[in-house]
Amino acid sequence: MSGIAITAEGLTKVYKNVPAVNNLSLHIPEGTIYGFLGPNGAGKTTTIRMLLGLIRPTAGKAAIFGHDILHARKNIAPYVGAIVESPAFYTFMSGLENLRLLARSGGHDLPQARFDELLEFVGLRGREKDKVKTYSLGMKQRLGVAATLLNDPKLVFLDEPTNGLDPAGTVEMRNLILRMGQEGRTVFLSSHLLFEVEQVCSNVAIIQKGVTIKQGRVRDLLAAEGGPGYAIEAAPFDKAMAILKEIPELKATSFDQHWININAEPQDVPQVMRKLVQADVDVFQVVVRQRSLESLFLEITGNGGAAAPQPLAEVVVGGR
Amino acid sequence: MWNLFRAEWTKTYKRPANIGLFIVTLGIILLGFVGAVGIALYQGTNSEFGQNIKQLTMFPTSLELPLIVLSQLGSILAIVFMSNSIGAEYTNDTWKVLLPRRARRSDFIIIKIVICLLFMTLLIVMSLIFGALVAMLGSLVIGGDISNMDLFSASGLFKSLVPIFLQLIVFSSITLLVTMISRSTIMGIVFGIVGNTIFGVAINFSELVAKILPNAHIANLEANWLYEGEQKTMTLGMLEGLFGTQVSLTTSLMVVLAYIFGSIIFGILLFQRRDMAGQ
Repeated sequence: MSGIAITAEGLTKVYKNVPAVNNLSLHIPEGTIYGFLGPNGAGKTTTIRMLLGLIRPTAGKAAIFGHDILHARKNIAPYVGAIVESPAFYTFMSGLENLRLLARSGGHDLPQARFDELLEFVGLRGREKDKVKTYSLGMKQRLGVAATLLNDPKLVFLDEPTNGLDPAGTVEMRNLILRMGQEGRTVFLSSHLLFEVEQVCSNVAIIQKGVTIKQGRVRDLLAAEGGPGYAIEAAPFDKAMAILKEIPELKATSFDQHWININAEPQDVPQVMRKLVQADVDVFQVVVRQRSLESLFLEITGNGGAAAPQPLAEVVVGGR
Repeated sequence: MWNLFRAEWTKTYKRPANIGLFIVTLGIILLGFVGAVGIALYQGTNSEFGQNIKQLTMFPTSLELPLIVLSQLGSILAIVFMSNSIGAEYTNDTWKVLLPRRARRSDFIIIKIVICLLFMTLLIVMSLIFGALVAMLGSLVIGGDISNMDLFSASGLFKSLVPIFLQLIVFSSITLLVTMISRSTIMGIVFGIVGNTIFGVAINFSELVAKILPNAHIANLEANWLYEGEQKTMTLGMLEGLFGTQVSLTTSLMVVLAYIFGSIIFGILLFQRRDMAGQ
C-alpha cells in the first residue's frame, strides 16, 4: 500500500460541452475521514461515480490505493464500499436478503455471523427479515452503510449519507462514520452539511464547478484562511478600521460596518487596543472569533463574501 | 461467477413481475383446460366435442395446449423477462450498488442471459407438467383415459420445443440490446412486442425485409430441421415465396446467429462503456 487512498490528477468529465468536473485534483491519505464539500452541482457525485468506475472520465487520471480506476478495477473492487446518492435496494426483498445478494454479487458468500455483525453495527437487528419497502429512509441509509461494509473495505465512499435523515438519524449516521474511521478505514464523505463534516472530518477538499478550490487538514485550512482571531466592536467605525488597516498583518476586515475582524496573536491584542484608545476610538467589545468551516466554505465558494452577513456565520467563542 | 449467479437467481424468483409471468402462463393453461372440460360436461362427455376433449386431456396429447400457449406467448414472456431484468436495474438505479463490486461489468450481463434461459426453460417445463396434471384431472372429471404412452415421443416433444426456444432466444437477445440502449423496461417491452409483431407482418410485404429480419429465417431453420415430407415441402415453398429465392439452411443459421450474438455482443460492449450517471 502506498499510504495514499485516492489520488486524482486533472480528472475531468464533460457532458455535452459542459464540464461537470474540471481538472480536479485530489490527494487523500489512508485512514482519514475526508470531507468532500461543494455546492449543489459542483461535481461531487460525478467525481464519486468516476472513482467507482460508474462513469468514465473525459480526461485525467485517478488511482485508488495506487491502482488506476479504469484499468485495474479488479485490484480496487475488493477494497471499496460505497453509497452513491440515495440508497438503492431491491424493495421486494428483506434487508438481510439484500445484503446477502450484494455480497454474492461481489463474489462473496459470507457466513450468517458476518451479516449479524453488520446488522448489529448499523442497529437493524430485529428488522432484517422485513421487506426493504417497509423501511424508513433512515433505516435504508443504515442498511446502505451495512452494504458498504460487506467486503470489509479499506475505503468507504459516502455520498450525502445524512440526506433526508431526522436529527436523531443524523447523529446516528455521524457516529457510524466516526466508528468507521476508528476502525482504520478511509472514509470519503461527500456532504453539503458543513457542520457534520466539521464534526467528523480531519481533512477536506472544497470543490466548485468541478474544480478543487481548497484541500487539506481542516485545522490548517481554517488557520490559513484567517484562523482563530478577534472581533472588535469600536466607534467611530471608519476611524477604527483605518487604524487597524495600517497594520497589514492584522488583515482587518468587516462585513457589516460594525464588527471588525482581525487576526492577531493573544499577546498582540493589548497593543492593538492601546493604539485604538490612544486615537480616541471607543472600544466596546473584543471577542475571540473561531472560524467555522461553514464560513470558510461560504467565503471561498462565493456564496458568502463581502455582501454576506459573515460574522453571523462564525462562532464567537467567548469574550475578553 | 457462481455467487453472482446465485444472487441473480434470488432476485429472479423473488421479483413480483416474474412470479406474475408464471401465474399468467399457468393461469392461461388452467383456463384453457377448465373451459374445455366445462364445455364438454355441458355438451355431454359422449358428444363429438366431449370425445375431442377426452383426447385433448389424455397424455401426451395433453401437452399440446401448453405448447400452443408457449409458442404464442413464449417470445413475449422472454421479452418481458429480459427487459425487466435489465431495465429494473436502471429504473431503481441499482447498477450503482452492483457495478463497483466487480471488476468486469460483462459478468452481470452474461449471468442475466444465462438466468433468462434458465427461467424460460423452467417456465416451459413447469407449464408442460402443470398442463399434464390439470389435463389428468380434467380427464378424470370427464371420464377419459389418463394416458396413452404409445403416442409419446421424446423426439416429437423436442421438435415442438425447438421453435419456441429459437424464438425466445432471438427476441430476448434483441430486447437485451434495446433495453440497454433505452435504459428502460417499458421501451424494451414495447419495442420487443411491437417489433416482434411488426417483423412478423413486414416479411410478407418485401423480399428484402424477409431476408433481413429474423422471423422467416427462424421458420426456414424449423422447416429444415424439424419438418418432414409434405409439411416440409409446403413450408419451404412458402418461404421461397417470401424470400423470392431459395435460402439455404446455412444462410438462415448465419442470420439468426448474427441476431443473437450481434445483439448480445453489441449490448455488452455498450454496457461496458456506458456511463452510469443515475436516473
